[in-house]
Amino acid sequence: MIEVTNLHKRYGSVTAVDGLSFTVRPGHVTGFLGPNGAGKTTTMRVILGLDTPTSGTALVDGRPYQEMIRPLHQVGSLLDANAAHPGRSAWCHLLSIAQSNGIGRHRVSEVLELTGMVDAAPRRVKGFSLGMRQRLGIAAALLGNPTTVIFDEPTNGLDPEGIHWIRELFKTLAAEGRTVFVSSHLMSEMALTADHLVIIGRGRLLADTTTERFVASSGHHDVLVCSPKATDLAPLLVGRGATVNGEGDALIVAGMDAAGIADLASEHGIAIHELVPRNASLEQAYLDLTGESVEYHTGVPSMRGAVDR
Amino acid sequence: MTALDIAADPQSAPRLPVRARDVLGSEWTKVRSVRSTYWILIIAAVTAIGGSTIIAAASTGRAGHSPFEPLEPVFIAWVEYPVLAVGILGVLAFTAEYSTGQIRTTFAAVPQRRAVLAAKAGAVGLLTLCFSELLAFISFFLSQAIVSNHGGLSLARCFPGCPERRHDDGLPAAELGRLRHHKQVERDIRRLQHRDRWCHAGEHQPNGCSNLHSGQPRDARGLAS
Repeated sequence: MIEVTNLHKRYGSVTAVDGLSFTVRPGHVTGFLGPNGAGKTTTMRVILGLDTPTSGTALVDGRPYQEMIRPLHQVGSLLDANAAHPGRSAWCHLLSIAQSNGIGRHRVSEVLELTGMVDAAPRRVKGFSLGMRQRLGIAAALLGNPTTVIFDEPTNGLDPEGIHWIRELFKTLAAEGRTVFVSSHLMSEMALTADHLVIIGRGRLLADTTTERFVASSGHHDVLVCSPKATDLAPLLVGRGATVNGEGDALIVAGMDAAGIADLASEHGIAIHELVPRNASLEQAYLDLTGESVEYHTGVPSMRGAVDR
Repeated sequence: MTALDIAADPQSAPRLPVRARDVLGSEWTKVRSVRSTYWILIIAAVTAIGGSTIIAAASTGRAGHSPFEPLEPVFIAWVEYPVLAVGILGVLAFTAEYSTGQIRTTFAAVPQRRAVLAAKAGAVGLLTLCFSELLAFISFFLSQAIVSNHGGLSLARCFPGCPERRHDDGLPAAELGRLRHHKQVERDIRRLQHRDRWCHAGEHQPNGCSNLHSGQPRDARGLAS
């Protein structure tokens, strides 16, 4: 359980976090979303005691992180995959962390196996790809068998297989009753992994809701249906109250879910070649929500200088 | 293997206070697991041992007829040069932690920052102390061997106050002899001898003191002279 209450953090004249309050509950994967510069990493640093807040509190299991003795048994974290000495081997890196919290060598081997890093253990971090560093960081986070895990952009640099693995890992950790708090700037990523979403922009809370509710509130979503008998299917769908657009074999159906459409087609012996629920509007809803709070707007690239030359 | 293995792990969170041994162990692992440590120690060893043996070898040629006085200060100077290398080791142990970003991982694992810094200083200090001590001994015995093989000189012979000591008296005695230069050590040794005699006379402390007595006589006598 992570409780952030009225958190403010200023760096000189820059306000990174501005009155943020939210709670991350155990048993769920909670996604922490926001554009670059929204204050996600700062918030996580404060939770982990690496930064002191200007005002407000951030508690893990009811205690400030700085007061924890051997905190790795309660909180595992990965903030920056590059936060390791490049000249040290993966094994020694993990061992030094484990020793500081009274964790044995046996557990180091376990987390290396868990993250698929056994072969890389004697190698120096210097030669690791970003994906391997992420895995090493995740291994370090799991060392103390913690009840709360905090990951900052853990999918950066991971290959598709690694992303799939990490999603499953988060879900398993949450299913075991742990608190899983994961930041990302990709809505599509979080929509697949998280049960709950905390969305911030410019250091303020924009939304604190379940993923389901966020998806439901994100406006219309539709289903793309391809069928050789599209002309027969369309009136049937309209008859059930759906809105149908499209031409040729492809129909865009709103107001009915994919299962309803499939059942209806099956009743009438109509073959369906493609049935795709489309949630493109989810990303749009996120962009709408955070659009005004984006820290770094992209300008229109000008080619004038190049042309003049 | 799935994450379920994490839950299956029998090791549950021990609610023990932070122990100096844990943090010291962690810092020791860090010091010994980077190559720069070994490079620096090698440089220190080459400087100290190489330097002092070269000085010893160079001295054997001209020292044939005169008492071998100048070796000792030069020897000590060479053994002290590695202080520079060892200093770099200490600086690196701290700066590398910050420049690589490792410090975030470290402080996330041990939020008690002073404990971390103290442990780091302890680990580096202990390593350099032991290593320097080792270097000093190796340099000394090597120099001593070189000097005693050429012209029958030994360091012990150079020490004023023990002219009767022969070069075959052995190196440990010579080392003790070197210590004798220090007034405090001499006083301590005399006190030991005094206590030794007193114990022997009293005979009511048979174990510790009589062992001391039987173990020490030759050296002690030699030193007292």
